[in-house]
Amino acid sequence: MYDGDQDTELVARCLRGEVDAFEPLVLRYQRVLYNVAWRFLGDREEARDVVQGAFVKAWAKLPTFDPRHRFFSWIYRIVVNESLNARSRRPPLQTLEESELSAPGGPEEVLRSRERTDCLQAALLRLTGDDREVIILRHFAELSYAEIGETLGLAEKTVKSRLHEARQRLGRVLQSEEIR
Amino acid sequence: MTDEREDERVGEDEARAVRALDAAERADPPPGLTGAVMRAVTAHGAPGRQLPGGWRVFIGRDSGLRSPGLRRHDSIRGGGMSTSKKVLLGVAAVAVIAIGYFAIKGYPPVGDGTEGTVGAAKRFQQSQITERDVILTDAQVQDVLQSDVFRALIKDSAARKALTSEGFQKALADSAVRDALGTQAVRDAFANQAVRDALGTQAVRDAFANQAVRDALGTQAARDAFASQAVRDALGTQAVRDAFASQAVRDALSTQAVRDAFANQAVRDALGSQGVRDALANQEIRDALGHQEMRALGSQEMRALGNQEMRALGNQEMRALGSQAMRDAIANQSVRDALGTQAFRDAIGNQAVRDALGTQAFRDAIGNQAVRDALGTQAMRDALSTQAVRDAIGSQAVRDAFASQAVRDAPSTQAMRDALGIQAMRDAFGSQAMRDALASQELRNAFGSQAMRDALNSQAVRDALANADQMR
Repeated sequence: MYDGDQDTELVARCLRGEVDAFEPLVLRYQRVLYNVAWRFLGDREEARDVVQGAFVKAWAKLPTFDPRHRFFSWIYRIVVNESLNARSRRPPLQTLEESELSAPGGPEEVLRSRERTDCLQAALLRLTGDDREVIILRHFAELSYAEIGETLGLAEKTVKSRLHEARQRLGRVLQSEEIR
Repeated sequence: MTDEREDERVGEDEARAVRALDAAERADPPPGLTGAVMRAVTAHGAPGRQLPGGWRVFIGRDSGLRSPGLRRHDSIRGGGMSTSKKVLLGVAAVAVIAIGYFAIKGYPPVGDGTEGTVGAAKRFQQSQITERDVILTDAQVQDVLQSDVFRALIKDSAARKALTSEGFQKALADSAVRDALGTQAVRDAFANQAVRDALGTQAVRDAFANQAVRDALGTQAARDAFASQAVRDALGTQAVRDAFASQAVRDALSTQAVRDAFANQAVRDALGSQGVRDALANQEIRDALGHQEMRALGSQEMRALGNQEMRALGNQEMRALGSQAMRDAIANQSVRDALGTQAFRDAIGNQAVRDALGTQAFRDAIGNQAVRDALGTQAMRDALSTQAVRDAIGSQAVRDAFASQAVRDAPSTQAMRDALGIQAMRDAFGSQAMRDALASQELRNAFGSQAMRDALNSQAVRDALANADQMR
């Protein structure tokens, strides 16, 4: 998915003050990062803000980027951290909008409808951070095992076994959701 | 048995998860994300500067849209007028201005006699049904007007500007454009912020006024191209927009070869690469696209542009396309044939060859008819497919040789040109021994020697080469 050499060259141009060189990096990774943030947060608008903020933060912190590593691995970590920050800023209990409280069927129906809409999302959010991360990188960022390993700093073999276990746990959560 | 059952259950769990994951939606990034980031980054200035304290708020305001969830958070954070209120006031102000504007001008503004099509309030101004009315009631256009995409378009200032431009109005009168508007691919493209931004530029508007562009829009290839995310993203870049301002590029769009090229996914993907975009930003390349020689390129060769190797071409090498020598070369059928071969593509995939392409020596060589003819031979192609030959091209000694005036002068002599054209020389390139020789350090050293260069420039060697055919 990513092109290390080209990324390094683009980052070097950015550091020389060429703003335009940042655009190809945004275009290349925005889709993957947006999907990652969305699946971490379960909220598209919040994911948009997180990805936008992560790119701006990456730009500002670019001089601290170590070119020995992949640009994607670096910005991915920023997105994950920003997603975790966004989650921690959330109020402890999600409240419903006023319009939802007065919706036909009442707030219970609104909640049931939300659950039906994205059962998988709910199941993903019930996994541990490590499990969720490896599943998201494989299935939504569509990275190879090697790329996941590089991004998470794990051996390829560890990635495979972690993914296998994470998917088993996800399957069990999905089944329990279906039974409920 | 218990273990087996356990295994089976575990397998089922994973299979269930994989099925759910495969069926899950993959979302496209929201329209305008790139634009918002680039605006924020431009405003921020050079990397390394500290982000301003309220940068999150700035980004939120810039994007103009916040989720209900985020609005709740903003309210929780407190402090003065909440962002949600500011956004609401901003939206209300824009809405009032827009309603006022359209109340006066009508939406979209229409030309004389076209009221029935798009200006619902003026639909019955025409006293009699004319041929134009038939066009105006085109079901596909009506369909577009009623779509979510159109609603998104009228909320967008750049798109509004484009829709009311003379160029777009003219384009709308064209049945090919109207047909294109009816397709899902074009509608999806309009839903893309980069495309909408592009519509706001004068270059793209003028392009719509151009018959060649309008005709191109009517082709299946153009529609398929619009369905490609890479093409949509490319439309968002300044380089591609500027390219539309070039008459040469517009004319190129009218050629069958270019249209065929757009029908190819690889070419579309190539538009997404930085190298191709940089190339389009270059006036020489734009001019080259308008040349008759370039148009003579067949669809097969144009498709070569979509190869991974071709994409790796840097700015400098791509600019070589703008030289007269390269244009002449492209006008040559043997060179065109060579472009379509796997050997040539592999050669382009080699960094050494790419570096060589950027040199003046290469351009001069390509300007020579004998060299061009040689490129068309099977022997030369076979030679190019050899790693040793590619490496030789990239070696410092060979480059130095090319940089030497004596060596450069050599091909300019009739004898040398004739030599390149003779069967013996071609056979030589076809020989494994010759290829091995090219790869040898000794030969490279020889090229690095001034004496060798002088020898190449001597009349005696030239005469010898001129007589090589007879000697054989």
